[in-house]
Amino acid sequence: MKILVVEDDFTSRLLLQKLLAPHGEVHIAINGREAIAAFRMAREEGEPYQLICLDIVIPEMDGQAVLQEIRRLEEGEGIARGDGVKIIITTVVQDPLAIMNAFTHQCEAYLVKPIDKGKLIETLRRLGLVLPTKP
Amino acid sequence: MLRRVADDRELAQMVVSAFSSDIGNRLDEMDLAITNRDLAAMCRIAHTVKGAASNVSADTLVTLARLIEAGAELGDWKYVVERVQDLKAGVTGYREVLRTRGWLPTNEEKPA
Repeated sequence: MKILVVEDDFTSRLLLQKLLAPHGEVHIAINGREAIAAFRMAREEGEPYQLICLDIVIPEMDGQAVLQEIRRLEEGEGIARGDGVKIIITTVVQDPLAIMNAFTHQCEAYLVKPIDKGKLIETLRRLGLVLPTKP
Repeated sequence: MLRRVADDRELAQMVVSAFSSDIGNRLDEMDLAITNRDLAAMCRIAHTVKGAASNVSADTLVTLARLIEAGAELGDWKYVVERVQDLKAGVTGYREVLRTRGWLPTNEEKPA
């Protein structure tokens, strides 16, 4: 799996990178513009991301705008709703309006920091990105 | 914090060490925002610190960052400056606790 972590905070970035590394190749973007550039480049190279972990409050272009832009680009390429890259919002922002906006713009999951390995992996399982644990 | 990384002490220690090292840069940025009277920058930095501190279960630092963010949103510079001083003291205390508990090497020194 190819993963993009979009985070301006070094600590969160490191933690997500370490937690996700066993599940795929992890790339990093530290602001919204970098995230869009990475997303575009990966698609152009024919190796798109399967997962993006996206913070909301990031420099240059906030996470909500990045989410909207990615879905707009996918729509432009004829990618059906639900078939695009899985996007998990990872943020400290808890207000209901932000959460509603994120789901309106088709994020798949919304995780509030602190980042929790169990919740993160469970979310990956729910999205079909990692195999369920055998009982 | 250990519980949130499934008791992976090595990872926890790495993240705590990264936070302890990086927070000094954020405090420098806060000083710059105070010098420039830049409320938007202060708000953004405080928000970042809030998220980072929550990841390492530094609850007092999370609270102080939240207060700085709120003060910056209200445009109350006096309050913001006071809370930034509190945050610096909090970071010093946090590092001291980490050293005492063996989570940071005792030779690591970057005063807040």
